[in-house]
Amino acid sequence: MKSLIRLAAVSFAALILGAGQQVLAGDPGISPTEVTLGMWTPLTGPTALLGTSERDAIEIAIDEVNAAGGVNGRKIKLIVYDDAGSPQEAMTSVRRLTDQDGVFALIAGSTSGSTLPVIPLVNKGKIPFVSSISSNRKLLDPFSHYIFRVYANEVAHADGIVEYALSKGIKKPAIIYNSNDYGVGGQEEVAALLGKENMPLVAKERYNQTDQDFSAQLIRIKESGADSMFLWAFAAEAGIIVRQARELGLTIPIYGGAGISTPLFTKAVGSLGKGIVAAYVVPDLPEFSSKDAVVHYRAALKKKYPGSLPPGRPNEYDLGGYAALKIFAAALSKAGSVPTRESLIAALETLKDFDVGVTFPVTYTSTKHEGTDQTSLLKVSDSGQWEMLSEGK
Amino acid sequence: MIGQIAVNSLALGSIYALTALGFVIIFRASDVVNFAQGEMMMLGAMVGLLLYRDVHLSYAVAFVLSIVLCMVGGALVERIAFRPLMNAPHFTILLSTVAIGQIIRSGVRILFGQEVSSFPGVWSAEPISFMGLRTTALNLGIVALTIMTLLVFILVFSWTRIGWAMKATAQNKRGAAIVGISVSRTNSQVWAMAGGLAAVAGILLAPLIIITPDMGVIGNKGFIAAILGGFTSLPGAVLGGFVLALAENLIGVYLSSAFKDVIVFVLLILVLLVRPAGLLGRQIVKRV
Repeated sequence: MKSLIRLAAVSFAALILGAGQQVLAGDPGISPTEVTLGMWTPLTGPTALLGTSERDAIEIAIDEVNAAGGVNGRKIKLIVYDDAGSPQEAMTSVRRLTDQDGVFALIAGSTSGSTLPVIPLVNKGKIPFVSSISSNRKLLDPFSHYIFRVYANEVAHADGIVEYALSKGIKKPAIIYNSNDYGVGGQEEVAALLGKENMPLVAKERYNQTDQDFSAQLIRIKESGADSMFLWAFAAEAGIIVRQARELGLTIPIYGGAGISTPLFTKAVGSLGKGIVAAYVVPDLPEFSSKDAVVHYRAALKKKYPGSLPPGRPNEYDLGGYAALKIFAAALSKAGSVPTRESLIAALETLKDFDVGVTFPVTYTSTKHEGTDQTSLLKVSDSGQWEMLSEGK
Repeated sequence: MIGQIAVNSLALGSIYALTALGFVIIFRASDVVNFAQGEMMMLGAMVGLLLYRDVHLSYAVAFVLSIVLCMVGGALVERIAFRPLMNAPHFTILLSTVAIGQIIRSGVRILFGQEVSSFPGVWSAEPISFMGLRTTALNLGIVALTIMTLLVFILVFSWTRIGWAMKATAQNKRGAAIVGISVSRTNSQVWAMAGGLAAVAGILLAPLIIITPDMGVIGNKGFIAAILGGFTSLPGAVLGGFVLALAENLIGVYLSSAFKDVIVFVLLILVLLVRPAGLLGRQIVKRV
């Protein structure tokens, strides 16, 4: 009996001590000299441009922060895994980052298809995540205490471009969209916004990511008598869609989601793209803007790639990644002398009109983790290049 | 509208047909399905683009040189991924071709990046109208070249020594060897031809779509077209290509563009149930 009590007492003491130790050790991934960030993103595969841009940008931003002494003396360390745009790989990578590497927070993330499936892991692990690729509404709907988005979501993209199309007097709009999360989300949003104006879509045509021929969809849109067409697609196939539309004699105005507003689209579509307008997530064209912060970033990127920049760079993902890291660093500096994941979240929620200079300013509160709903518009100029149409909405 | 759908299916059907031809000639001569056919096509387009845009060769020279290089590539694939496995189970060889496809795709992505490029066509892509139907000179040229390629291959297979050697090798390797046919040389020749064919398909397809390391996925459609056509018949492969493109577009327009692929695969299963040998294929009876 005595020994049993002793055993219980020892166990109890061990429990207390153990718990105490855990509190003393704080959250994983942070020490007085270092803080570790984790990132999973497509570095290979069809969406590699997004991931490599974000990674480069985050590395550039980290180098800047570390060169200036780090955040309150802590150097930022980054661990990156390639998910090749695959949801399964994304799950594996995030598990590795949280369970094995014990990172303090997550950054950037992947395409919507490879970011949405990991939300439960992020929430269950209670890990702060500053997201700068996915524009899908569902990233923060339902709301997550742990996830923060850097630029406007698809609802805002649709808002901006639909408003513009309405101002041009469209009456019978149609839409062609990708059957993945991005396209379906965009279609629902455009339909909802037009529904408010009592203007149903006269044709809703979807296609699959690997399709190479869009005649069937475009013939249906032509037959529907549409006077305008929304295009919720990625740049490469959007180029084919526009070319095939013009070939079929479908010359109606085209309004695109943010998926097409990259130089890849203008390259793919050639001279037929003139006049197409699309939503854009950052206030300036990364390639041409003369704004200080963007110029500064371009110079840093050129240093990283002496000789010539990779094709399609810098782009909005460069700017998004750069902003995400600067936002994280700003919050960390305000998260106390021994930051915890919770104190980082609390600090992020105090950021108000925080402007890195390369994206729209972000504001977070305890109930709103969408950094901004501002978007801009781009138009394909007569010379076949994107140009800014307006800034902010 | 049906007329327009048919016209629109022609160019796409041609590309399916050329890819299907590649599947069929390798299958006829080597008795394997080469799942790297789509990637070899992508490689042909990439090499063509490189020679034309970056090395600044004329279109014709770039086209021919790219065919030659892809023929060498095809022969290399045979040497590396087929010949050492010639006596292995079919499934092993099939996996080996899948692996080659992945290697080509990833290799191109590493060398060229995820670059999207458009390739100029040799014919104009300006829309032309004829009796209310719209098409382009490019589309018509592609159809004509496909038919010509088919004829050339039929001639080669039916009337030349190489063609006979191929047939003999496929039917009975040992028998062919006994009568003095070099089996390995014949196989090299077939794979080289399939490589050249892939280059033709790739360069023709390139101006219709956009060159990316992933454009080889269209090879899957060529595979279906080949099955539709019977997998042993050259005209069957071409017919299968046109039928597949037409079916896709008809389904897309009249039923649903979302379920296009689903319905196409259902049709494929139906064809296999009703006519296991495909539209123009002959039932192969193996005598033991």
